[in-house]
Amino acid sequence: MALFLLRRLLAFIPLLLGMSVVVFLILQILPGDPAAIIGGQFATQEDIAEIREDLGLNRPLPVQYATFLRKLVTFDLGTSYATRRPVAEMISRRYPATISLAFAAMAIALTLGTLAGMIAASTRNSAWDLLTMLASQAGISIPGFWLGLLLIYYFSVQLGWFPTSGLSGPRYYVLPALALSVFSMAFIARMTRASLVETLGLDYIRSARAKGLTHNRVVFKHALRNAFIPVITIAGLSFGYLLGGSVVIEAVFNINGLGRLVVDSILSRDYPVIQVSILVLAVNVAAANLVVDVCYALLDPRLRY
Amino acid sequence: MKRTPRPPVLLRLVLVMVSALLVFVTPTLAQDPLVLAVRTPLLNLDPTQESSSTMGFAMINVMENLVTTSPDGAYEPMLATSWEVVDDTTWRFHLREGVTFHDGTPFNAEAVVFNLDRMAAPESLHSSNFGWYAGASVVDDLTVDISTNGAYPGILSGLNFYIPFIVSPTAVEVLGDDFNSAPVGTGPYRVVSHEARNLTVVEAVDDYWGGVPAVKRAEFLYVPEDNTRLASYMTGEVDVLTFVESSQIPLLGMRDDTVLVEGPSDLADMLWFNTQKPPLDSATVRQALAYGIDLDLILETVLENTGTRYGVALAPGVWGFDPETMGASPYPYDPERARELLAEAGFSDGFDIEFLIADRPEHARIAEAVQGQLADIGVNVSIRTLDWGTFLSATAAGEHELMVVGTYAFGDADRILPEFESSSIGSRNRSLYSNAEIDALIAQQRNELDADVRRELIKEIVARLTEEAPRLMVRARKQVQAVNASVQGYIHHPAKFDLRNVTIGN
Repeated sequence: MALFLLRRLLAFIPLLLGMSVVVFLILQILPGDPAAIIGGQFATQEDIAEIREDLGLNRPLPVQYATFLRKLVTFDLGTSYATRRPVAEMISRRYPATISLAFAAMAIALTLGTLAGMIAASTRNSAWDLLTMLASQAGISIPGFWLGLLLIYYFSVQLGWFPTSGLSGPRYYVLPALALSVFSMAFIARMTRASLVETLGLDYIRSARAKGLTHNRVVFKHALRNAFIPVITIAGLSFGYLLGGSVVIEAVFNINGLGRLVVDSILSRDYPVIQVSILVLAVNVAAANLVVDVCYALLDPRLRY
Repeated sequence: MKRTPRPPVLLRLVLVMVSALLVFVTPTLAQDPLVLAVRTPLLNLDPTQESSSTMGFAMINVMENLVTTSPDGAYEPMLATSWEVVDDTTWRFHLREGVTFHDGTPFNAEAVVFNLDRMAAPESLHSSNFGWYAGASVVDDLTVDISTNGAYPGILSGLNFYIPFIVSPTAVEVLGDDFNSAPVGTGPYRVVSHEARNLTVVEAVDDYWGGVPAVKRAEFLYVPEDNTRLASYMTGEVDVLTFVESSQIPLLGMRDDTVLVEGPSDLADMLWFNTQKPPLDSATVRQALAYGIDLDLILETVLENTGTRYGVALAPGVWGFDPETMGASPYPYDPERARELLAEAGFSDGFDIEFLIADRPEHARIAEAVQGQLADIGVNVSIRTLDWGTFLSATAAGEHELMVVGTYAFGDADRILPEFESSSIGSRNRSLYSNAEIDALIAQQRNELDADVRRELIKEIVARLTEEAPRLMVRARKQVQAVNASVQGYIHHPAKFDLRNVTIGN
């Protein structure tokens, strides 16, 4: 297991290198000039040329990339074009908001999603089942930003229960985490149901029932463990989705997190900030997948790495 | 034997979880500081490093200029108490006595020279805006002489720069890179904390030369999403919406707890023709389009009457504006005339044209309306939307045919006229308009010290430009701010969020 973990962690390095090249190239293809944005609408061409010089945008692309990489390995993440602050500082201030929101959403999605899936599976073809599946279909289809605005309208503006923006206390997490979690929750619910229904049809479950075990005991004690393996996969994949979804949710709930930083940085062509933010998100997604692999081993004793 | 399912057990679990969520539900606390929501982020607070006017609007509370303007555009003393012309290229400014920067550094003639040099230096983002500045010299501690490159009547407009820039020379040196997040000025407030793209907090200083402000703490909060900004105002998390989207005005106007503070803004939206792309290189074709677009109707309906229309060049807030000759829009809607002019130019069957817009809801609505109206005179408009950054580069390079973007509607005429000079093609001259006679006239008014002669020159320039129609005015924008009724004394100013006279009470 330790060797497996080490191997997987080492695999992060080529992954990140590849990511950094891809992001760097995409930024070069992107039209628009960071210097023109910094100079603003009324800047002269000379002004813009000076800013380009100042930012080092005149140097050949391979040189720019090499400089970025050289700084990266010495943990110098560079300076933002737009704010002239260290990128490391900007990202470390915003990372906690995004990651804690993703965890909150994950917690909601996993508990409510698996619960709903379990209810649906164990009451298969009942009204409960139908209701859960309809709701989850809706959950998959509803765009997060729209749901977010609806939540703000009812729970903040109409009822005044929750604040509309920011993330400065537990109360602030409720609406954004809910809006962010809905897609994953619905997906997990459907996966739990499908997997559990399949498992409940297996021979060993019939044996358990034949022993005279109660329905709940059969479901919770015997079926669930096996049924959870695909659910864990989906949950792991969802984590990447939750980090990506933060881009939208943080804009809607005005949360000062990594997602909003990425959007703002892309709009202002703040290359250093975009590059590092994407790498940070990539590391998180890779780490989530690693956790999923470890969970497999814990759930299924036959799996050993 | 199959057992009957028992959902209620699980249902109870769900209920427990829902009630756990409700623990977090407590009423919203009243805001102590005055919170102003801004639509564009505050990035750099060092005046030499920032070009966003929002930064200037907010930081006028922290940093000041030698002169300022009243809300109706008249020049008023600020850090300078009076000024006089010494000779054609030299102006003498007498400075306010007893003013100190927030770090204790005295404000004096040396500080003025330091800051002017700093703004005009090549490292400054604004060096080209200070092209008029030839140098300054200390006469005595509170008197400074400023020289201009040639006679320059627009000097007061130049000194009342949209980003206030008189800062403590000591702080610039001592703070180094940190100065950008903690600028030190002479204003009624000092910066307590600044996180770019998020929140900037200012706190009243207790020895401001103009009296201590009543609001002790104010926050400039960046809320990029239009609907969220509106919602956070409606829940009371934000006290002042510094920019109300035109589509939100009717809703906010109905609220009892809201005062809409409005007035002319410092910006006018213009519809620009690329005068170098055929068929728009023909003045007749441009006139035809001008008659064929009902901009009055667009302003009234699509833009909710958020402004007024004047001629092609100047708005009333600009020095040199003449109500008689520039007061009305020169091209009333007349599709008949438009068709005649098109036929005259040899385009009786119309033509295809592209309308380039930045990714902003209002611009899209304008472009769609123009598209519909021009279809009536046989001109097919296709709309292409770009994000702001790409839009800036594309229009500077002249890739557009039609486009909408704002420009100044406040200050000296010489702030606006470069938009018609051939030397500004590639930057501010988004019509790519080139006319040697106009160039000569603009250069002439720039250095004309006699105000009456200069006004006549500007009138002549505007009359010619009206005929040439390199662009049309969509509106001189009205700026609408929503202010919570508990906030008093928030006065509209085209270029400031002025907190000095604001009080919070019942």
